[in-house]
Amino acid sequence: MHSDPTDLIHRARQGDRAAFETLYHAHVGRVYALCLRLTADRALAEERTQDAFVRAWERLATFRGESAFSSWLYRLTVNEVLLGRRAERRRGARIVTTDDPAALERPGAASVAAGTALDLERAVAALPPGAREVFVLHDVEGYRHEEIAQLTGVAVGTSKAQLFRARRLLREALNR
Amino acid sequence: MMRTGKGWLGVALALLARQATAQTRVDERWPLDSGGAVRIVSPLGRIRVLGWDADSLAVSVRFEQRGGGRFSAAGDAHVRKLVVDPAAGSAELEVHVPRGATVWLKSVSARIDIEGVDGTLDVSSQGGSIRVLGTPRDVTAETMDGSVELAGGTARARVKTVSGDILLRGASQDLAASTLSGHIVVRAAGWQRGGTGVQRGKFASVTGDISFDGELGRGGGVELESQSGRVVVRVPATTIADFDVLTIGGAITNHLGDAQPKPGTAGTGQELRFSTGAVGSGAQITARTFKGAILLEPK
Amino acid sequence: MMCPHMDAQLNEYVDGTLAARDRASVEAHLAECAGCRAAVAELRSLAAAAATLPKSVEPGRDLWAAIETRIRQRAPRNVQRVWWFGALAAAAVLVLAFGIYRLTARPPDRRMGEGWVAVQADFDRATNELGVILAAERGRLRPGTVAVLERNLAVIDAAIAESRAALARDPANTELRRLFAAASRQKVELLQWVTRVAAS
Repeated sequence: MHSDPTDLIHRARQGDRAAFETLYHAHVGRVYALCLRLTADRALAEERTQDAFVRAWERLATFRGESAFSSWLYRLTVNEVLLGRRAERRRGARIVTTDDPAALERPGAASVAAGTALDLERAVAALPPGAREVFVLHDVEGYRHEEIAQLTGVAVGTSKAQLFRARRLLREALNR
Repeated sequence: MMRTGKGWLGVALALLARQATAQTRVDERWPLDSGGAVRIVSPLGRIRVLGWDADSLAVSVRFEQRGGGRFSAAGDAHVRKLVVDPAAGSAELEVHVPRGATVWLKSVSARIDIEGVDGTLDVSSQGGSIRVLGTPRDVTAETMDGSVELAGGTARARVKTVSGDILLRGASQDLAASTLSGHIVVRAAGWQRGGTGVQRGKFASVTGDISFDGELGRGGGVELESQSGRVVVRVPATTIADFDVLTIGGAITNHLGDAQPKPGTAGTGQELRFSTGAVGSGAQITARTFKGAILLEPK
Repeated sequence: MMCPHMDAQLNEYVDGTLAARDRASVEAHLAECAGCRAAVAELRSLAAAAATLPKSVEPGRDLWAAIETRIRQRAPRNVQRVWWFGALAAAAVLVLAFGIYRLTARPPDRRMGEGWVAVQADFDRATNELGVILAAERGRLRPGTVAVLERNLAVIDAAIAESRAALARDPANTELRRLFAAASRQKVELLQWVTRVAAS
């Protein structure tokens, strides 16, 4: 059954959990990929994915259709991940970045083909958190530096510096 | 007769205990700066606020229910908040405040009377009536279906109701009143009687009638707007003012001079624009309705 | 080996964010520096690889059950949401008031036409959202309050309908617009009462 997405959103806003579940299935891959690359930690990514959808449910009333639902959802996801990281930093917890290639290998996955792609994923996961976030947001997700600065709470110049550093580290890792 | 130390301790403990437990009657007094602020929350019953010349705040609470209710009073000499617990049922509250105090009052359906306060008043209720007597500097009063009456004179007043009637009496400078289905009656005193006349007035309703009866200060402006309510403007025949009156579907009747309404320039309704005296030399009176009648007549 | 001092510039060059003059000077350098040329090639292929990474990755297990539990636990009308709607109402009134101010300030502006449509759209959106709240909160309000609200909601809706009909017949009429705007504002304020009452 093919549902009109605007109708799904409208129903979800009225409290229809089944409609929201359909939206969940349509977008969870994207949301999870985003969380996974930003956190480089499968367990954390699963947590953040859930946080993002719960937050989306709470905030549905504010979604007014000025942008695509997906853009709104992914931006909200980025917020959830970065917010979580800032909170953990404040609490003094060390973010453990596990380089877990298993997380990135899906049996039968159509798109993970070339060894290069897997190497790149691993290399990105191994980046220090600040550089990794900016690299994922800019080069993978396509956000601009101004948006990244807003989302991460750093200056635009810092965002650029992090990006260039990430690229340098990645080039070194991939050239090894 | 001297009490023992233990006796005094007992009294002090009893006083403290009274703060937190049920009581049928409370009488308390604290120092409060002459320009201090009082916040009062009491959902049901009656609330009287009276300005006095002492730099202190006195409260007297009577609970209707036997066993009473909870009353709390936290704060200091600058700000104090008096709260009657809704579970307490109906309460009769009498509060004396320094005249220049700022009073912030929130209720659900208590009948509210404020007298003799010169400071700033902010009153919000749902169903209770609000009555302010005196010369507060600044009044904001909002209620849903309670009525609001201001009598005396204020520098600035803002009144809003949904279905409550609004009565504004006295010499006020900057008035705004808005209602959905209540009636607005303005009886403004002019300089002949010691006031300065209304300088700025804005009165709006949807279905309620609006009646402006008074004198306008020189250079003042009054706007009256209603969807289907009847708008009446009653000013002295000697008033110098520019009149700008328009209705889409109603009828205009003018008894202030000879000017007669013309068909509206847009093709519907009626318009009437005239000046008693040199244009721009006096006050401005603007009236607009969708289909309510508009009547201009001399006092 | 890339020239170390060129790092930032080469990155910006690859991203296309260099000013024309700087771009020319980088290109001049690249013409003579093999190390930097290699770096640029690497940066480009890195950017390409990053852009073509799979956008979607399915989680290893089903996360929906946990999500559903959490959203089911959310109290359907929690205070935070009502507060938020209250803020929304305030914002709606501000938007509307500002729009009305702009449109009714003299002298009238030929552009008023489009602006007016936008104001109406804003208003419709605001009152739709607020209307949802009234429907939702009705059960929590005292019956007397509900009666007053519903009676006056009927009054204001009738007034708005009349105004709107008249405006449809005579859309350029400034006075009609003002009256319609005034009625609209009254409705938004009425619904603000609802949110305030419901939150108390």
